[in-house]
Amino acid sequence: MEHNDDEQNMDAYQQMRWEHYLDDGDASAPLASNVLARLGLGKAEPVQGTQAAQWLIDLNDAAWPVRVAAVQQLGMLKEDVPLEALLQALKDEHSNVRAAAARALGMLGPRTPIEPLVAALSDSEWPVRAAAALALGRLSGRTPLEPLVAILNDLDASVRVAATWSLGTLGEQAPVEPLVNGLSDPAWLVREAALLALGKLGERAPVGPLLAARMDEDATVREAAELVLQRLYPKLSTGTVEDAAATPLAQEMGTRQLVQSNGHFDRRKFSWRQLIPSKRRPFPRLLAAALAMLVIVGTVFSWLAATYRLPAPASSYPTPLIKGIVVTYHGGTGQAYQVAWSPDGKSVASVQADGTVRVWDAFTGNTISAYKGSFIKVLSMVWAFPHSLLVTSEGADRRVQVWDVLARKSLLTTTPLPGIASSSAWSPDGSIIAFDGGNNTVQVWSLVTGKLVLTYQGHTGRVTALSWSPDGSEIASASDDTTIQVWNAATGHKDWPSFVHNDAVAAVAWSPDGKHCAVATVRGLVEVWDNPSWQVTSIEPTNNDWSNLSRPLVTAIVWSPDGTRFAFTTADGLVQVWDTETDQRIYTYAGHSKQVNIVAWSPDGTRVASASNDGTVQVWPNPSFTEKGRLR
Amino acid sequence: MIQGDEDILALLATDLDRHYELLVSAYSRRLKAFVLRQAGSLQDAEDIVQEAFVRAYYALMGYSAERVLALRVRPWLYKITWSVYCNYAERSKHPPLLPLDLSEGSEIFEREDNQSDQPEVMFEHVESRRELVALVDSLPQHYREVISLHYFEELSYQEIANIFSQPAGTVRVSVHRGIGLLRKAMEIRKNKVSDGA
Repeated sequence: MEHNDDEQNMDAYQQMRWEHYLDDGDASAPLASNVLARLGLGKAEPVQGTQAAQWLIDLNDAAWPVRVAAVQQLGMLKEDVPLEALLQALKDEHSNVRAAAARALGMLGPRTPIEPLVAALSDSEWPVRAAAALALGRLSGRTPLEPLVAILNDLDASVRVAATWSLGTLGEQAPVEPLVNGLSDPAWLVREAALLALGKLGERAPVGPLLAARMDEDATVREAAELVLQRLYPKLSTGTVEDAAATPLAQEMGTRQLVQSNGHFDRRKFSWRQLIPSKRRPFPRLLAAALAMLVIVGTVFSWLAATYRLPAPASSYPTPLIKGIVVTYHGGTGQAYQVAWSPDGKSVASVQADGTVRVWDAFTGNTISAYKGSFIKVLSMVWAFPHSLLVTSEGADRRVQVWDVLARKSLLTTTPLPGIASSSAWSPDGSIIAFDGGNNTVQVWSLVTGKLVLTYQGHTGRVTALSWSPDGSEIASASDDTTIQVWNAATGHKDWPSFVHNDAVAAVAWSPDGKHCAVATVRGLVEVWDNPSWQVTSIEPTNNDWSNLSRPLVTAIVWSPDGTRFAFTTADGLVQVWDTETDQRIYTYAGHSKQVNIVAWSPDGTRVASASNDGTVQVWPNPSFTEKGRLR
Repeated sequence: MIQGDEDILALLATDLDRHYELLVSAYSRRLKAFVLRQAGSLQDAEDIVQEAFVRAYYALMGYSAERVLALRVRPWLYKITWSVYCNYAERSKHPPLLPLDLSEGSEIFEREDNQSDQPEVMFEHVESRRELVALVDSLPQHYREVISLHYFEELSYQEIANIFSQPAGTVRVSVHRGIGLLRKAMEIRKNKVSDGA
């Protein structure tokens, strides 16, 4: 149905309605005046110093609008403004006066006192807190970071909006993580403000959360996300929101009743309890006590098991024990094959054969949340920002999908693959995903455009592992065809001749600084290559316990965040940790009973989480050593 | 003279503080009427609209000039006002309106192209505009609101849906049902007049 074009009728109707309810045609005047007074935006003009005496007197007037006007006028004196008077107004009994004072103080440039404004962030009234937050954002170079980050948790949405704006003004100094957290705020105005603030950060703005925001339940937020993405990626088309929003994770999980007809997920109706059976059922006391004993015994056993099982390598290093508590997670069912740390190092996400992504406490092993999907397999996980856990999965229809699990949004759905995918890797900025296409090819898809970037066809065997160079320019692909190939991620052009081994290659990983590339063959040969010379700088240790005949299948290689170590996982249940400074295998973790599929280093590198076919994910300390090889 | 939205936005993009009054003046009465239909108290409506404008200002502070110029300010202001009203309703323990349920087999869609549903046609059937006001006001609250926003504030179904956080389909059905109720009310009134004659 089209709009009514009879404007005359409409105008008459509107006018009549207003006459019906309101006094007269000028009824907006008092309301407008009050609004402007509350914001300290009256029609003030700059005054001379000689007139300032009257404004100082007016600061003590009984009527708050008079006091607000006085504050506004005094603020316009700039260099001559009586600072004490404004500071006094900041303690006025009326919140509108205090807000006006905060606003006026923020306009004083270098003379703006910071401490009173920080104190005003604790005011009992939200307009004062918001005005103070805005004022602090105008201090160009002097804006205090911590108070503004703290007030992002304010109960009032407008205060959070103001603090977000102020943090966005910090440019390169702006903290990314709190702004990304703002994208999950319950108030759409805050989510929008966070997007716009992130848009000012240029390349520092993480693309994954921005893409997820493109599918926000609120249209205004989605518009802002499009705006920011178009600004940051002007050469790219960002596609349509509706298409992507039509297949949220909820639909995949069979919870269609939770999805509104416009394709948006209704958070208010959603409860994970609908998907995951509650485990908090009443147990008889004896049974609970028995379970507690089992847990204690299991923990002790795990700790005892976390020792060096193999003899010491042929080096000067002794055989130290791994000290500290080993946390074993038993929350899932079946083989564990994906694991990722939260950015704060407090939580771990893991995937097991039951197809559920579980987030759990890294210190207690308690499940925090669980996300059930209908996918056959999770190919990779990346948790770069607190509220953005991205999962690449393959469904029964052989389409690869990318989910923002915590936001419960689908970011990408590919066309069906010709075969079954087995590996994938994210570009460093999280905007592009590469995965094995199932027919000896590698497909590269952009999350920004939702389109296929290229298909790499250089291999003649199954692609087993992929790794991006840290600058995102190249991809190293390992294959059953015994080669490792390094090619341009934008063009698919092979930058280097293939590196050929005697055996199928099982793992490849670029070091964080891009200077090395670690590779492993199915027969357990581990090498580290230099970039760009591509000379082998170190190979597997020649210790006698690891003969060619007994070398186990290497399943994955993962570098520590600082690039000084890398861990490779093996089919016989071990995790070997290699030190790149000494070119030595420095210890082995032997807490698993079956093949270890993958490990993830905690963000600070002090702990490692390993996922195994024994059905557990274990978190264990990554020990540091003294120069003499003793544990620190 | 009330300036157009584009003119106001262009001025806000250049100097928000200086020109914010224009936005407040242009929309305060509309928003007040909007809230009054919900809150029922003139003083409450006044307070809610004031707060909405204050919050809108803080939101605009974070907008770039580009964002301001691209803003569809009318639905945006209604949306903020509705949020403030919902908070008010929650505090005063008068919960805001709940979305209407969608039932199968509704005859509403069959009437979509019925010319008599068009408000301008309906205007012809009322003897005075004040009568139409009374008729619209007699509608259940939710119908009253969506009809006003759609036909008289010229907001699209999607824009109304964004304000109320409802699916656009729900809004569409509400508008059609409201029109249907209006027509029935008019028929009843007409019959009463005929009987009286």
